[in-house]
Amino acid sequence: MTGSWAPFPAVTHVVDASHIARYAELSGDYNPLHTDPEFARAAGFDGVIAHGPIALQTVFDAVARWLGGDGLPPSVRIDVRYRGPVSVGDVLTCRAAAIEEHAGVVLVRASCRDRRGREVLQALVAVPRRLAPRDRDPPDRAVG
Amino acid sequence: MSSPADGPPRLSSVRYQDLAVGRRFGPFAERLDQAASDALRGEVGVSRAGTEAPLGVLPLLTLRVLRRALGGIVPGGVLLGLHVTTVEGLPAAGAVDVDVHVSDQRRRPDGGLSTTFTFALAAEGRVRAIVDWTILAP
Repeated sequence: MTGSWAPFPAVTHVVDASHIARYAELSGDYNPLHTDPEFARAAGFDGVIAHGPIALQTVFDAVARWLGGDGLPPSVRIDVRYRGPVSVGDVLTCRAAAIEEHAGVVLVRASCRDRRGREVLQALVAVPRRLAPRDRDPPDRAVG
Repeated sequence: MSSPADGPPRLSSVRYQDLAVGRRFGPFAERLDQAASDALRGEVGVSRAGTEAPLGVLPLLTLRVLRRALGGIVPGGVLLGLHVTTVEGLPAAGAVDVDVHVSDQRRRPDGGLSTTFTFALAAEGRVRAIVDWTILAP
């Protein structure tokens, strides 16, 4: 069935200090890894790192654009493995590596990388076949 | 939205190694507001209006609840993985009940300790999503 699904959109977000401050404010997560450069350096990072959900927003944004609608899509599973930290100034892009179908479920294997090509997270998005959008264009566009 | 500035302290004195698999916390009553939902439809903080809560509210609400469950955020913990299973939609604003338990804990080959928390989010008596966080202890 590869080639029959709508392209999974590539989504790019830029992470800046205001995003980290805003996420800390919204969530109440003031882990010093996100707020204290000295603490972060002592923990082995180059400086403060972004909250994990900030990078994840690229995946969620891509899923929402792919499926359409602005709410929680029903019966969807998203598995994310973090591969590396995200720092202030990083430019993150989420892209699909493959779209496959198994047993009535459409699986999108996606990856989020920074501008240097370093992978910061991997995601597997599982969507019931009935909800996955069909491609209206030629199949060579099927993987975004 | 219950203000994250209220309630528990910012940082917790709990250590992940002191938690036991099966330990439960909650349920916690959270309030989601329209501004938070709209701030999490794309890039963080770039507001976009919508009537339903986006996927981005799931880590947000569970992070708030983790802070309440542990009496603050444990300093130095690093997120290893997150799993989301949606059941049905959630309004962009309203009450959400969240309970959480420690569902797994294991020693990694590199000696680090990972702890998984499983959250169930419900509104109007119906489960809307299940979220797992796996965190590497400092």
